[in-house]
Amino acid sequence: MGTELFSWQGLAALLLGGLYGAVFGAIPGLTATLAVALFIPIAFFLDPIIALPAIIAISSVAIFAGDVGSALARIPGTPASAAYVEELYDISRRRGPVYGLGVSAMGSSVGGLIGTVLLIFSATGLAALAAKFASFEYFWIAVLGLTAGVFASGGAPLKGLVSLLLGLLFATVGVDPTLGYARFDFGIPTLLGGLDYIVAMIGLFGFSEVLEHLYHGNRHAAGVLPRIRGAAPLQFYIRPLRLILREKWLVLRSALIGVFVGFLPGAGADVGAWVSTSFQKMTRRSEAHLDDEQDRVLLAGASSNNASVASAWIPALSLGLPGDTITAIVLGIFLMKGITPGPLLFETNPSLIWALYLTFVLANVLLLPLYGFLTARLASTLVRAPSNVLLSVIAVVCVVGAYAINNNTLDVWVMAGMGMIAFLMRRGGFPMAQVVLGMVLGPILERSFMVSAIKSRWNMLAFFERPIALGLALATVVVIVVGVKATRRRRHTGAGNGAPLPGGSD
Amino acid sequence: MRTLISGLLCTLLGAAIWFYSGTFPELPEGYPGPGLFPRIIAAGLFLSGLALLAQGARLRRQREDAVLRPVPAGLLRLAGGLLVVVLYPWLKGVSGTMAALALICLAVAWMLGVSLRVAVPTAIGSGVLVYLVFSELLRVPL
Repeated sequence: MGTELFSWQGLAALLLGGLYGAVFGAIPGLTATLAVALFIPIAFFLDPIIALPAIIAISSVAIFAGDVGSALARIPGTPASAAYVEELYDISRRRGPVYGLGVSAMGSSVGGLIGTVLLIFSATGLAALAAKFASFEYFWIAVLGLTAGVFASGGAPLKGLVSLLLGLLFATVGVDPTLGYARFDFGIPTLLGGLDYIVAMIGLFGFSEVLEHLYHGNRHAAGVLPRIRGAAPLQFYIRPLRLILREKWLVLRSALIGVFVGFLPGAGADVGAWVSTSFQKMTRRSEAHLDDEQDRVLLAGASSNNASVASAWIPALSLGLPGDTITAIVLGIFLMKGITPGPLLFETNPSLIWALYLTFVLANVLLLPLYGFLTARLASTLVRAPSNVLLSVIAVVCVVGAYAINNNTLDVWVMAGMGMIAFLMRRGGFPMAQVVLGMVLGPILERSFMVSAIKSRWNMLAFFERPIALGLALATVVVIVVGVKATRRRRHTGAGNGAPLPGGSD
Repeated sequence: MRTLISGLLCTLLGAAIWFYSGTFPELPEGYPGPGLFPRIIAAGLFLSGLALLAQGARLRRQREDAVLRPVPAGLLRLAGGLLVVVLYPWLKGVSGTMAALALICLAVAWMLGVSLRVAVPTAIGSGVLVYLVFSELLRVPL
């Protein structure tokens, strides 16, 4: 089984797929989904046992490679990466991008392996659970994610809430899910499709950084980078692995959160990372060791992020329901090749299933550490360039990245507008990442609420009648209680209290 | 002061969204329609704005809130950076994608204080490289 995977074509597909994913993921504006979509014409001519592992390699490495933008320029590659962008950027400035990306890559590898193990041993069972999720459960999942996002803003949940509300507001631009009514389009046809959250991320994080440096001039130029001790392999592999061993229960918890939230079709991957990082921030042990706490938050987010990559395949393989846009593309390839996903796939095509499992293991054990190290080395060279030169190039990448998504001029203006909004928000001490979370979860929240309300004829008690929905509602209450307690504890110890967030301006 | 200004902007934005959303149609039998969520968000912004105003007033009494002092030269550079990006579609139409990207890079580099000796080759190099990577290597049309 899986012998075709170890043929020269299979290995070439894995290695080239990983390289392709690393390049795509590292460039702002280019996503894992786009990388997989552009690969389809090639996949059509390949044997499925070669094509599908290549897609897994692309997506696994690209999801991690999105952290390169976070480390270098505070531009997250995915909404899930936005959950820990400030921590990764700070760690990369203080301790070097090789160490920061090492924690991300090693955490992603271990989290991805845990997700793969669960995929192998419990795919059918978890898929049966996913089939029980209806609009009521999706509503509460979205509420849980948004609530976690509020308290993930550190000591200023009120400002986190405002950022979240802004994101939810941006998500209402376009056609509404109930009547198909155009909202906030102001007569511009392109806005009927809504605002793209990738464009928003580029503007909020990348272009705003350019504007920040333009405003402050040389006074805001990055200081001399600290001298980093230790060879690159030590910083990328050994120190992060020691951190993982020390924080093994944190990694396991975060990976499990990533899997159990990530396997929900269409909803989970981004929420998992937010819940993990928020939980870590709310339960941080000590105010005195913020450096160590940043490492833990990064580890929580990275391991959750990649665990959800594997778990998104659970409903796809077991039920034929795509877990995310990438698995939606994969299901299309299945149909092209005459393969029917679902429970019988495990019996009719076991070699394909095992090839997929093996690929997940290889991607997490070999490809991520290999390409992660290469991209980290490249990042450590780039970060030594003068910041004002680097920022001028980042401005170009922001423009091209925003335009390339939809080939739409308006996206460039939206990107610039978001950059300006982020610049103003930083003046007020508002976090940025919650805006992205609101834009991603807003449509899910509104659609699931309206569908549920209409189904139940506006009987609000119906939101609490189903056991899983009730459980998720209670989990939301727990997050609020823990979050409020953690905020009060930080205020008593003198931290938080609306203080500037890591990496934010005053 | 910044918290007070933030609070004021939030309340004004919330109020504006509330009233604008009131023009959206409703579902049959009077049930809320497309205006429901924008109004919930507007209410949240309005109430958060009030909370920020209260917080800002408390911080001012304790003299903890930072006072904003705009930097005129910085505002000019900021406006310049925004303008050059907003003009990208026009620049692209006039000079082509590569040249437009190079001009953006050059303008931002110059405003950030990079010498022309470094800025010009960086601009040319980044314009060409970004164009080649996206258009030729990755086949993403620009």
